[in-house]
This record gives sequence, structure tokens and C-alpha cells, in this order.
Amino acid sequence: MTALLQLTNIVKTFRKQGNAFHAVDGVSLAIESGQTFGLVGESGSGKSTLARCALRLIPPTSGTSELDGQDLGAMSRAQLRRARADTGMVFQNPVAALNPRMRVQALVAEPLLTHTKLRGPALQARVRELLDRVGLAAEHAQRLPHQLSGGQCQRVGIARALATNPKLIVLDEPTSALDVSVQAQILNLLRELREQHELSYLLISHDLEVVRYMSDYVGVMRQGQLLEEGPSADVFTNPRHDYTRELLDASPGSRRNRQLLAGAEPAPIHL
Amino acid sequence: MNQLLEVRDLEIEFMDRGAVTNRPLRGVNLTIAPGEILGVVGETGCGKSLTGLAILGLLPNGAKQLGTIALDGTLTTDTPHGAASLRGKVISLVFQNPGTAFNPVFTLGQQMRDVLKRHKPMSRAEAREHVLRQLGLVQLPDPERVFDSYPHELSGGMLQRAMIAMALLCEPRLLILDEPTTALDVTVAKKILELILELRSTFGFGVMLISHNLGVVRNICDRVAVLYAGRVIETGTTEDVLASPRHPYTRGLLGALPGPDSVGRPLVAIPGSVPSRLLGINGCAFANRCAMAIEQCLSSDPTLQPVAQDHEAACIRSAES
Repeated sequence: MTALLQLTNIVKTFRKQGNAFHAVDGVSLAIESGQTFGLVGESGSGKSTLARCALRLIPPTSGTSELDGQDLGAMSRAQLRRARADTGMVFQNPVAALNPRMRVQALVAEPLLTHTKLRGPALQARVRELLDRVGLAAEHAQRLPHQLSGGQCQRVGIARALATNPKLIVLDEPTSALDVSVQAQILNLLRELREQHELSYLLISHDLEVVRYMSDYVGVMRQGQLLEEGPSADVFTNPRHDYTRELLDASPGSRRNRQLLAGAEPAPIHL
Repeated sequence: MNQLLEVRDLEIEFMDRGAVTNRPLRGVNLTIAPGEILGVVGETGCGKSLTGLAILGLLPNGAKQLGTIALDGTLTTDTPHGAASLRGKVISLVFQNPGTAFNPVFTLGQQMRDVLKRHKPMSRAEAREHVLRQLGLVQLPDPERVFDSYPHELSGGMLQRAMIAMALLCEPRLLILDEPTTALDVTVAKKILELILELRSTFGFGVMLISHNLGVVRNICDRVAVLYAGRVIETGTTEDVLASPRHPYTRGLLGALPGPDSVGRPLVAIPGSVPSRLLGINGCAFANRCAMAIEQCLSSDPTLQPVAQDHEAACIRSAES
């Protein structure tokens, strides 16, 4: 069986004033259809660059990205555009990701105008259907992004990603700008959509609990390299790499962390 | 018991042309004992940061403040410059984003020396010595280099350490930390929290830690105050509040956090969002989002009531849970 997304030996090197910086340094991974692959690591570890290379939003320095068995790097521009209709992307800052001068209706229609032949009433109907699916009411269609809350903006972002019925959606820190209560709403929505539409996700997050909650497979990145990958349950309960263990210990919800900090001395003055 | 900080019935109203347009704080009561770390939690728009700003006397123009704030037994609300004269000396602030909180065109050393110039007149050389000592205290390697660095030359974690050093320059009694680790990676955040605990042990200052991250609060706070719609709706020791929350909102915040036990199940999200306009609310402000709401909740406005030893909640059904 071919994987939905197969990344082979992806390298991305940025050059600045003669210095080479290996943002992604030889990463291979596969995402099977219907699976969620969670990518964790600290800022600067290359998670987002890898995701961009995967969808060929930026060309990798070397390595291949195959979607459904087809090498994105070997495609013509027109072919690549068609292939991209099978993918979607949701960004970290939900407000900044939306054009502030476009209404929700137009924002959600945009990918449909690019990738489908839907026009007129059929287009309107499809937009309404998408808004409904992400939990927004018809009245939201005429709003501008600044008239929506952060959570509602992220719902619009998800509707845009869903518009072309993609097989794979890349979620780049989809909830890190949101409150925990809104984060829970969005994570629940993403899980529901995954089941209804048999979606695969590539989820990027620095929040280990979010990744554990959402993912079937987990990869841990540091300094452009994939240090460890495996089924989510294995990596979280039995981390093999020291760095993974360090990350797990530092996670605010970690039990070990709680004990460590609880052992710190109490204040000398406690009147 | 002598409280370091005592906030009583703090209300803030925003006025526009003589009319009240919003009332983001509707009677906040808080106390912090010397050397205590109080966590202030709640969603965006609950009034966490505004409470911090009011304590610092940094409210925006057009904000009208009612109620009292006492710092170390002195009312800051008595004079217009009350909090301003205490700022930096008795009370100081660490901001959320260390990358933007410093002035980008001055070195850290210059900025820290300016604080001393304002509060503790001393010679340039003495000030430099003092700042270097302070930078060493927050465990920054090579304080000399940090002193001469511009903000963009340091990492987020190093900047946050420098910011803590700057906040502690004049040995304040109360430190307000507004989301001190939100912008940092988990491993760096952990080290910053450890540093705060260590410095607290050494100097015995009180801390008000504003955070939406219950994990952070759980790790370092002695007590917690949960804010909703401009009021404290539950308060008590961290252990009590997080282990046996009595207000449905606190339970909602805890339930919304994904954890090892929630894998494979939907998260318990709190439906809806924080009301942005807090005028003319009768009854409980949380009632429209609450799964436990009954008819009485829409008419009676609950106040904080003791539910256990050193544990209060503002919910008419708190006894049932």
C-alpha cells in the first residue's frame, strides 16, 4: 500500500551571507490515509519548514515529496495546482491568516473559485454547507475577520482548508493562539471532520498534550532532524530518545515535572 | 494576618462621553500574603491583565476605578500618583513577550541602569556593578556580554531572564508576571518557572502570576483565583481548586485540557465564549454557558461563599458537586 504522503530524505538549506543553515536535515516520513501524524519540537526545529516542503509551498533543497504516489517535485505548475486541491493548510494565527478586507463568504469561496468550476448559486450553497460543517451560522458569512473571535476565525480557516475536499490537511499550530476552552472546541471539530471525511492530518504543535490527544503517529524533531518516531502511545509512554524524555518532563501537565517543582523549597517568609 | 496585597471590590468602568460603555471588572477581591504565589487564571477577556494593570496604576485613559487596592498596608487608590510612586520599587511587572517588551534601540544594560537612575541614585560604575550582579542572579551566563547586548541579540529565554532581573532591581515586595512563559518553548519555560521559585525562596517576594495555562499554575502557585467576566468565581489553595473544583467554569477549564486520560474521547469544551460587554447582567454571568444552570441562576447573582477550608466558590450549586 502506498502512503498518502511519503517524504523521502527532505533537506532544506537556507543560505545567508555564505553561511548555510540546515533547517531540515534529511527527514523521511510517511502518513497513511486516514491517519494523523503529529510533529513536535521546539521553535526553530524545522517543523514548519518540513510541512512547507511537503506541500511544495517552498521547494526542498533535495529529497522528494509524494502525494498519493505522485512526486510533487516532478510536476508542471498546472499539475501541481491540481494536486494541491487534494491538500489544505490551517495556520497558527487565525486572524492574520485571513485577508482583513474580505468577508467570510468570499474567504471560503476563494479556494473553490481557484480549484473548482462552481459558480453562482451552487458556489453559495457550497460555502453555506462548509460554514455549517465547521459550526458557523449563516449570519457569519457577511462578517469581516475582525468582527469574529479567534476561535471563529480558525473555523473559517478550517472551512477554507476543507473547501476542495482534500485528503490531507496540514495543521500548523492550529490552536496555540487560542484559549484552552476554545482549543477544546477546535480539536473536537477537527476530530469530527477527520472521521466524517476520512481526512489525514499532519499536525504541527509544540504542545505535547495536543499532539498526544490528536495523533496516531508522532515524530519528534530537533535541529532539522527527526529524532524519534512511532505510534503515539509508544512514544509518549516509552520515549527512547533523551530529548523526547526531556520534552515530556518539561510539559506543564507532566506528572514528573509537578513532582520536581513541588520539591522546591517553600518561601522562608510565610506569615 | 498582614497581607502584602489586598484588592477589595475592584470595579473598572470604561466611560465614553459621560456614559458607561463597559464594566470589565465587576468587583474583584484578591489577597496575596508576603512570599506567596497567587495564580490568576481565566480565558481571554476575563479581566486578568486588567486587574494587574489596575494594581500597577497603569489603566488606560477613560477607565474609572472603584474599590480599593492596598499594597503593604498602604492604599494606592488614595492619590492619583499612588501606584506610580510604588512602581518599580515595591511592585514590578514582567511582560508576556520578552522580545517586544524591551526597547530595541538601547542595550539591556542601558535600560536596566535607567531603572536604577529613577529609583536608586548611584554612580554609573555602581549602577553597572549592581546590574551585573542582578544578571548573574538570574543565572545568565556572561552578564558582561548581556549588559552590552541589544534585545535582538539574545534568545527569548535569555530576554525573559533579563526582564526578571530588571523587575527585581529595586527589590520589590510584589512581582506581577503576566503570562511569563507563554511565548517560550516548554523546556525554556520550565527553567524560567524554576528560577522564579528559587528567587522567591531567596528574596521572599510575593507573586501574582497571570496565566491561562493551568499546567503552569499547578506547578508553581500556592493559591489560585479563577476569574470569569470580571469577577473571582473560585479561589483556594492550588491543590484544592485543581483537584476538587467547585465552580462549573473551573471544571470546564480543567476538562478542556487534553491529557493522557482524554485520548480517544471528545474533550469537554465550554460552549460559547466570554461575554465582551458586561453591563446589565442579572444573575450569574456564566449561566448561558453552564451545563448546570437552573432557572434561579438567571436571577440570583452568586457571591463567593466558603465551600471548604480556605476554598471559596461563587455558584449557587457549588454544594452539589
